[in-house]
Amino acid sequence: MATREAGKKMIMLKSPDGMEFEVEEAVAMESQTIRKMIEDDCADTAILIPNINSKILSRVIEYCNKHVPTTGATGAAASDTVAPAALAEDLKIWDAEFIKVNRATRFDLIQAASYLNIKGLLDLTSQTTIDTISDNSLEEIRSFLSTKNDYLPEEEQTIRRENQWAFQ
Amino acid sequence: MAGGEDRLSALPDDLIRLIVGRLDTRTALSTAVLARRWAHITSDLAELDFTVSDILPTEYDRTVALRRRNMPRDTFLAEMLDCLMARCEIDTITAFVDGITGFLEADGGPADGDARRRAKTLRLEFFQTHDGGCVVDRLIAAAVGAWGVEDLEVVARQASCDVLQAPPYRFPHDHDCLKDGLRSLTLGNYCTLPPLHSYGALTTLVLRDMAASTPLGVYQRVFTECTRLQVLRLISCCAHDCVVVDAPCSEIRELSLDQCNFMEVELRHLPMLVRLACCLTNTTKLVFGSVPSLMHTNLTFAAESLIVPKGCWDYFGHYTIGMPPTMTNLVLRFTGLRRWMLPAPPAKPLLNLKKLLVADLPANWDITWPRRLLLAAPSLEVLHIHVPCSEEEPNYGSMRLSSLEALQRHHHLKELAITGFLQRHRWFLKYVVNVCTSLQRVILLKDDGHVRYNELWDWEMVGQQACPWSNDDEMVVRRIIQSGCKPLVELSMG
Repeated sequence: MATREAGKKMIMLKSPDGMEFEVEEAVAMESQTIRKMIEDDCADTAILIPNINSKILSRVIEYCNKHVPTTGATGAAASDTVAPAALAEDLKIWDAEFIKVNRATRFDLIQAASYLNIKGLLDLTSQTTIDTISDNSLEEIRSFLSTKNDYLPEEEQTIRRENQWAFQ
Repeated sequence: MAGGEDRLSALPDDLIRLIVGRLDTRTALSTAVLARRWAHITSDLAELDFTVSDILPTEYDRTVALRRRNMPRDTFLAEMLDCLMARCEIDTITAFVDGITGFLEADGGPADGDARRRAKTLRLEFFQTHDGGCVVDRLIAAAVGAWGVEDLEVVARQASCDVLQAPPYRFPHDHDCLKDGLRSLTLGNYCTLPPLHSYGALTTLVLRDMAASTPLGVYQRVFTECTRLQVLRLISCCAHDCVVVDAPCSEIRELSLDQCNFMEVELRHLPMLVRLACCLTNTTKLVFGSVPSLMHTNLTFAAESLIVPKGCWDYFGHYTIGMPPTMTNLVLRFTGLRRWMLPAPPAKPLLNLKKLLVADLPANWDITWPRRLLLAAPSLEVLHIHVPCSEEEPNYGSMRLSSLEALQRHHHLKELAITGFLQRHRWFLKYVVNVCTSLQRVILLKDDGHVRYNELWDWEMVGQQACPWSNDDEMVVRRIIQSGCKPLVELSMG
């Protein structure tokens, strides 16, 4: 059972394809969903993460490992008055590297971040998608999403008129 | 990689909504044309922005500024520019009206019975026209009345071209839905301030760039009449007179006066005020009356020159009179001021002050400026000083202590942090470690340190380790700390 001790409590995360990942409790608790399970004592020795395959889960753990707040040996008191700006800068560069994945993986990551409720990862993944949408024309987006236009011509006219603020 | 499976569309609606919700309104609305499903998703964007700045050409604001300075001199060129601007304004107005009209039409109308849209925030910026912003009124009524908008921002602009000149926009304040539904309202620029006393749900009001002709009484009445307000912000408003706030029934907890051109501000009665921020540009006096709940204060002195009577010194105590002893956090910034201001301590000691930040200390001032405040705040626990990077030697102030002052001890200060620490500041460090009997931690950051503000009342000191300390420098500092009355102080340097 999960006990709340300060040391290195480990948690086992299982993906539906049968892989197991042993992670520190603090790292797993970057996910609000897992945190809630642990706090409600629903977490036994292993937590099954449905819908997220091992490839994506391992990337998510990689992200959490990097982003877990470091409470250094110097004591929390000193670190809350003087924030290391260099560290934040490092993280940004790391994030930019991390998100250099193909679209399919990125969408899987969005879903995983949403299910596991990891705000930082959700922000990162969705912002990258937004940048693509904002920088391209509608036709490009449509082909990028390979979405089919299912409007009748007159319907499309109406929709265009209703949303013409977008096209001014 | 093109073609194949549309992975984004495979995401559930909630996630797509979350992603689309992060787009600006125009891009988000444009995705409605993609497919039926997307039209459905864009019909409940939480935030809607209809702002003409988004569709005005980038040169527009620059040209307006140019013409305001009566440039260019050549009359032919000037006329041509005016024509272009008029054309541009007329096009923008038409585009805005068409955009809103289409958007309102999309809302089903009576056939649907129920409004199809949901939204929380609506931001509008438009050119005020002769029809008095008719389409804007309709949009506001639909947004607050039917879509559930609670936060509304209305900024009316005045067109530069003569034929488009119209009286200021009148907010449709007598709609009942506004009185019950609106929680936060921002009015800006070319608007008149409506009577808001019957707005029962309104807790946040922001007034920005109001016309210079707005009578003083209008601002004063906001305090006395809108008794449900919790947060009030006045930004770039002006009244060349003294503003007296006398509102014993007010529930305002947070007041911010940013770049306001008020001559004097007197807070006579604000019983619930907890947080106050004043960025003083042309205000020469801030008088505290009865503000018994005030805890967090930010005073920024931003004026390049403050008007001072001849032959008179600048005393800190002349600008701020009667600082209440309930204050726990105080931020003092000197972003514009370069002339010396005597650090006269407040008349009454700041008995509850725990955290003090003195930031942007002018380069020509001595770092000992906060010393008088330290002594006037016997419970102070945290003192942070930020000196912007400069090699300039101070020419005002220095550590000249009478023997009586040198003996005065401070028993509560636990943390001293200085960013922009230079060799010449070590005398002040020496003074602090000698006088403060409870000091636990000293943080010294070199030039590249700065202050990161978390809203206006909280902050943290941020260091970067670009230039490490030399051994000699470090030794000098350690020796100073050893000589103090608590030699075991924790020292961190960056």
